[in-house]
Amino acid sequence: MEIETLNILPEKMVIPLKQHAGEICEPLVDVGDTVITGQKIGEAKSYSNVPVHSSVCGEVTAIQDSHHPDGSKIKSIIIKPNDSEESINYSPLENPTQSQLISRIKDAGVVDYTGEPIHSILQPENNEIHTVIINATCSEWMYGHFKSVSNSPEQLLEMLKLLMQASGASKGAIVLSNDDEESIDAFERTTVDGNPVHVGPLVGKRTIDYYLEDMDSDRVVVSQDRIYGKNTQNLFTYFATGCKLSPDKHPNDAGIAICSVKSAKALYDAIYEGKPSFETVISVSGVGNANPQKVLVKVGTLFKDVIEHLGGYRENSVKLIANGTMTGTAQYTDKVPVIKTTTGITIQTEDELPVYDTYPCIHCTKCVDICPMELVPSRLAILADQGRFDECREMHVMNCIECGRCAAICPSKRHLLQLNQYAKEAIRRSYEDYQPKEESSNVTLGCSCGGGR
Amino acid sequence: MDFINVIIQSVAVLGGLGFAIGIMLIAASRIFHVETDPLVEEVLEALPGANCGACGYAGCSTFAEAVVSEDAPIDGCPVGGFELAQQIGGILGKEVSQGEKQYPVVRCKGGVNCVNRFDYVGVQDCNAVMMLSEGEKGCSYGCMGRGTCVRACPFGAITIGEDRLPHINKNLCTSCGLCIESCPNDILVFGKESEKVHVRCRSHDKPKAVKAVCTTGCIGCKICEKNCPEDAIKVNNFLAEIDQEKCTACGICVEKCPQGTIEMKETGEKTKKSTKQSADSSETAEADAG
Repeated sequence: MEIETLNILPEKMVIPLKQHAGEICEPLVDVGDTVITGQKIGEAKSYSNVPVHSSVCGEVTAIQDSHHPDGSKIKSIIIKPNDSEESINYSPLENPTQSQLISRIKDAGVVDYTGEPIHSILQPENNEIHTVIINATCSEWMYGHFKSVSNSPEQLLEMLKLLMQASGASKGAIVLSNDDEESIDAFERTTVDGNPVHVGPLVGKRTIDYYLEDMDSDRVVVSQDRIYGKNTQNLFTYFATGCKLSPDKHPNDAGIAICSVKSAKALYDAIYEGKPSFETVISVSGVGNANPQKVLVKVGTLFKDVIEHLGGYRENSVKLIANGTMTGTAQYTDKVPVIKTTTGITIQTEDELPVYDTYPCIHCTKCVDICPMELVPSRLAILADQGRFDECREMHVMNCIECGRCAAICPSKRHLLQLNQYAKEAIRRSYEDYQPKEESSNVTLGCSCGGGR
Repeated sequence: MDFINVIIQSVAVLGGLGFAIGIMLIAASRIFHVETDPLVEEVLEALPGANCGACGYAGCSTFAEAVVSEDAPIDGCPVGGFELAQQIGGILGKEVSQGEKQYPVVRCKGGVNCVNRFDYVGVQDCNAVMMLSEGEKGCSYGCMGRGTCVRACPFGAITIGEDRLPHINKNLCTSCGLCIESCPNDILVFGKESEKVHVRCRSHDKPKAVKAVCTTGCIGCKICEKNCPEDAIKVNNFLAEIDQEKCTACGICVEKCPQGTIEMKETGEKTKKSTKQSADSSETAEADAG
C-alpha cells in the first residue's frame, strides 16, 4: 500500500494546544501573527508536556476553544494557511549525546499514540530505564510510516539503537505481530551487529531476556499475537518481559519504555532531519470507494477536508469515528482536526452499524472466553449497571484493557465495554476525592448511597 | 426410695451447676463491664433508623454516638428534620433553633427544549453519558436527564418528567442532599423554602451559543436586572443571579424574562403577585413542583 501525501490548501487549520495527556500549552503567537512551517506555537509548561508546532505557513486568525477528537473543546490556534513553502531551518543532530537527544525529542513534541510524550517515557523523572521495546504489533500497518519497504527493518533497528541511547537502556527489542509475515520476512533478511536476525516467538518463559541471552546481542526482534485496546501497555509488558504490573503502575515503573513505530519514526525524523512532529500518517476507511487508504496528513487538518479530498462521504454514511472502530471515539462533527495521536478516520454507513437494541444477558459466556485479561465481562456489566462498583473492583475491573472484544461478540448487544469503562471511571473518581469515614466500607460512587442500600 | 434419690440428686446437681454458672456470669459482667452512655441508646431510639447515611456517618448508631460526643450537630439528621432535632435536644438538654427546610432546585430548564448534538446509544446514566464527548446535549451546562439523581435518592422523591428533567416531590424530600452530590453536572443546588424565585439555568455561554441550542436558557439580556425594583438581580458572566436576601418575590422578572428562564415556585400561600399571575405562569409553577 502506498502512502499518499495529502497536498491540499484548506480554508483553515485548527491546531489544538493540547495533543498529549497532560497540561495545555501556553500559546506563543497572537492573532494576526504570521507563522511558518515547523514554528513552535505552543510552549509546554513542564517536563511531562510537549510543545506544539505549526504545520503550515499562514496567518493566525483566532485563538479559541475548538472541537477536539476526544470530544471536548480545547483552546486551539486557528490558522489560515497560504501556499508558501517556507519553513524553519531543520538542523540534524550529529553524534548527539544522551541529554542532547532528550532535549531534541522534547522540543520536537513527539507524542506516543497513548498521548504520552516520548521523552518522558524514555527518561522518566523517577525511574531508570533498562529495556526499550518498539511495539510493532498495533493495528497500525507497520510499513505505513516508511517510504520504501525494503530498508525499513534497518531503519527500525537504527531507531531502536537511538532510543536505547536516548534512554540509557542496555537492552532493546522490536516486537512484531505473529501474522505479519511480510515484516518477519523482511527482518529475517537483515543483520544486527553482523549477525543475521532471527525473529523468535514470545512463548511462555521465552521472553525478551531469553532471546537477548540466546542471541548474545543487545537488540532482538521477536513476535507475538496481536493485542489491541486502550490500556494494553501492561499486558504487552507482561508478554514481552514476563514482568507483571498492577493496573495503577506504568511500564516505566519496571524500567521498561514502550514506544510505537509511529513515534519511533517521528523521533527519527526529529533527530536525523531536525523536523518537529507536525505530520502524521493516518489510515482512512469508509471514504469514497470505501477502500482503506494511508495518507500523510498535516496536524491540524480538519477531518472534513481529509474526507473531501479522498472522495467524500459515501451514501448513507451515519457514523464518523476518530481512530479505529473498536477503541476510537465517535465524533458528532467533522470539523475536528487531525492531531498527533490520531491514527485513523473511520466512516460507517447504516448497513455497517451493529444492531442498536440491547437485550438481557443470556449467559452464553462468549465474552468470558474472548476476554484477553481473563475477566468476566458479563458479571462486571451487571454489577456496574447496578452501581455495585466496589464489587466490580474486587473482580478486577481495573485490569480491563478496553479492547472492546466482549461488546463486539455479545449476541445480546450489551454495552459491556462502556459499562466497564463506566465502573472504572467511577472507581477512579471515588478513590481520588472520597475519604471514607470510619466503619464505612462501601465505596459511595455513582450510586452515592453511602452504605445504606 | 431410689426414685426420690434420683430426683434429689438431679435437682442438686442442676441447681448447683446453675448457681455456680450464675456466680461466674455475675463476676464476668462485673469484671468486663463496659460503660455505655444511656443517652446514646435514647438518641438512637429517637432516630429514624433508615441508616441512609445522609448525615455523613455510616449509620444511625454512629451518628447517635457522634451527637452525644458533640462531634455531630444536633440537627445533623436531615431525614428527621426539626422535630427530631427538638427531640434529641430534649434528651441532651440543649436548645435547638428552628432551621429552615431546604429543597433541591433544578438549575436547568433545557430538557426537551435543548438540542442534542448526537444520538447517544449506551448506558443510561448521566455519568456514563458524560464520558462520551461531555454529554449529548448541545449545552455543556445542561441536565442530561438520565436519572442519576433519581437512583441516588433513597426516598423516591425525584422523578424524571416528560420534559426530561428531574422533578422533586417536596412531600417525600428529606433534604439529605444525596442527589446534589450525585449530579455530575452540578444541576441541583439547595434552595430554602422561603426562596421562591429561581433562575433555572446555569449556562455561562455567550447569548448566541445559548440561543443556538436552547429555547429556555439564560442569555444574559439584563432585562431582569433593569426591571427589578429591589435591585436583587445581577447578571454575571451572561447568567442572572438572584440575591435571595433582597428578593421579595414580586414576580416582575418572571414576567419580563424573554426566555422564561426565571421561575416562581408554587407555595400554596398567596404571594403579592397572585392577582396578576396568568394561567401560563401557574402552569410553570406546577411543572416546577412536579
